[in-house]
Amino acid sequence: MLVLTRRPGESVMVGDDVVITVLEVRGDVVRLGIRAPRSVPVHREEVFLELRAANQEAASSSEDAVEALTRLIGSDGEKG
Amino acid sequence: MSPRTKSAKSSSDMATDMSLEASAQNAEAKAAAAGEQLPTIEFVSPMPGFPGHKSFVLVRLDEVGLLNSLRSVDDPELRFITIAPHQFFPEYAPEIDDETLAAMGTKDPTQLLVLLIVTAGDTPRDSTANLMAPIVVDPMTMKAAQCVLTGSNLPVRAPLA
Repeated sequence: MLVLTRRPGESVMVGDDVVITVLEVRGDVVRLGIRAPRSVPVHREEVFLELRAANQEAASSSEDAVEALTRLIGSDGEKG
Repeated sequence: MSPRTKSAKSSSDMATDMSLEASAQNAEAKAAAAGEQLPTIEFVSPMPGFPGHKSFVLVRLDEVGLLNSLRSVDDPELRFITIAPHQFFPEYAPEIDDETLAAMGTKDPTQLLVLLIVTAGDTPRDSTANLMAPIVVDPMTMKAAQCVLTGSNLPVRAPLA
């Protein structure tokens, strides 16, 4: 891992178009500003990991389970 | 293995997967057979966990559009099932951030289609929907995003029951 020392107001470039700026350091909390192109999603790591897990789980739903779900939605839908 | 027959299906290359979900498959097959242009939506950035998949075909699985399938154009094996929020979560009204709207080229946010990714459980009542990161589709631009509602405290796995 590359380790750099930065002060508030200083930045790090990642590639040509991602800029990460240290905005504020207070106690054990660091506030970062991140400027990245729209095609580069930026997430907190724990959020990203949770979403990735949820997406992967959703993508591997068994066909039987999906079929049962289809019936449930269908019947509920008819009821209004 | 289900003994169910797949009446209207002709493609034999699917024969290996006997338990393919019939109505979902039929809806897709029917649309394709009718020469219907299946709506392809383009993600402005890939969904977490699926880098490289940006084009998806959106297919209605029921008459009213409560249930949809979202299938990757690049890998037909990759398929998500989505529900319209109002049936199970009538109060759900996600606020989509300006960045996402701009990325999709959205002019009228009221036109956005909101889809919740469902994880189908062993029984339908074990199924969950992702309220924290809905898929939003702009029907005008056909762009989509999985919008992360940061700070909303909404669950990633909300039970449908």
